[in-house]
Amino acid sequence: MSEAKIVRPDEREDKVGDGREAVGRAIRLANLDLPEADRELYCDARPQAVKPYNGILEKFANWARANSLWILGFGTGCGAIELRPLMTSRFDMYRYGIQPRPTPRQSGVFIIGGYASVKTLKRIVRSYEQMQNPKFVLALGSCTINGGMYWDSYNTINRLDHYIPVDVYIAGCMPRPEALIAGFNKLKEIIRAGKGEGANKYAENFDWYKANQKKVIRDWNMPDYNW
Amino acid sequence: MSKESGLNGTVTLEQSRLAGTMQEIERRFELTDAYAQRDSLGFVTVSRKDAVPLITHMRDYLGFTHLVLVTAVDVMERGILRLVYLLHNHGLCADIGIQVEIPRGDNPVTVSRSGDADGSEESRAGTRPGHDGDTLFAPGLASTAGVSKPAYTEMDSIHHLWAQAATYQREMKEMYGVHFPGSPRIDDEFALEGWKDIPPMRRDFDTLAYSERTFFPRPGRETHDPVEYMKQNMYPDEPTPPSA
Repeated sequence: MSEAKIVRPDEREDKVGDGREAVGRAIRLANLDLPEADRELYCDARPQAVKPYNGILEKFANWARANSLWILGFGTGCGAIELRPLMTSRFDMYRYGIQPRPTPRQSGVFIIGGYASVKTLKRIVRSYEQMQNPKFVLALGSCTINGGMYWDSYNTINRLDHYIPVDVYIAGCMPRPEALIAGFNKLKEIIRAGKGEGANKYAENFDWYKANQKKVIRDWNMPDYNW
Repeated sequence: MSKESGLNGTVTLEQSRLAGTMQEIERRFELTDAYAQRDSLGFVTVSRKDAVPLITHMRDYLGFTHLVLVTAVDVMERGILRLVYLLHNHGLCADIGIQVEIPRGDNPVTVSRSGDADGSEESRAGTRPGHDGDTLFAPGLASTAGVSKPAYTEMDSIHHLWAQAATYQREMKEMYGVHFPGSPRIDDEFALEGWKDIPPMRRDFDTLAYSERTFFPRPGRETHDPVEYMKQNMYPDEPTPPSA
């Protein structure tokens, strides 16, 4: 076992954004105590854009992705209440190939359920980054579009697409489960057309997203990108 | 004491079920105001030095054992913060709100203990020596380093009477800038993380301006006056009602 090197956030070379350092609460990366060989299991390097497969392979992959949408069971706002009827027999999302998963690492779709406070946004970013490629975001309700009824709040973001890439917006306050299903069908069209490139967009514009996130999340105490 | 309620104007304290309690309180403490809002809800106003003795007396002798809530009202026109302690008596099924008016003080600017992300030298200049809460003065006062004037207005803590009061007090410190010395974890963040402006529930905090310069407003938002908009769309021919 080799000596574990302590990587503190202010020593990291991939600092991005406006140059501010993460200070204060000593954060502990999960890969600190691991031997060098295992360290990469918990990658905290910048995300990389992934090239699509060639031709028919990518089409087949997109068809498969569109029919197996696993959503992250993280209710981020009041709109998460609409996910419960979606699971029950009346709306039955399973017939569309949609099912909830308990952890970001098994999920491909993130539903932002309405308003996102700054405190929640921090967890949203963290969860989004932990999801595996390809990943898609459904933004639910007016609050994710322009702040909705919380547009002048001191603690609620106005537009979500400045912090993470959004594939489909579902307008309403709150949108009903039928609207959510319509949003899922729209997302499937986008995926089948090969346009569900949110994860790549995030990787390509990483500095811009990070700068925006750090503008509102003032006590930045997480890795810049976390597995 | 017989001041009538502002809301319905029908119940006086003497008629309400709080009459006995009020006599007890008035004998021992100096009340600057007392009125009944309804049969089961009364309010009294006391000075800061009487507040904690009164609350203790009501809890220990008069049966007001349940702390319903503690909150603050910013009356910036009079330069005060009004703290309200609402206590409930299960025997009487009645509440009494104890109001305490404390000076509002200057707006404190808080730097979270978890780190001042882009703290400049000027903003550090106002730190009170020997105070670990990283309390800064308002920007206008920041240059006068070492001034002993406290940045936070202060109130006595009641966490020794009800443990859950400490949570209310943490929230009030963050939202209204009232410091409760000795209250557990009073310097910890409550709901806001890394907040660096004046406390957001103070009324001179401009939440719209803050939102616009922080949260990337999406252009194209329209606002309609509901009365005008409904009239225009649903009954454009009818005359405008005189009250509108």
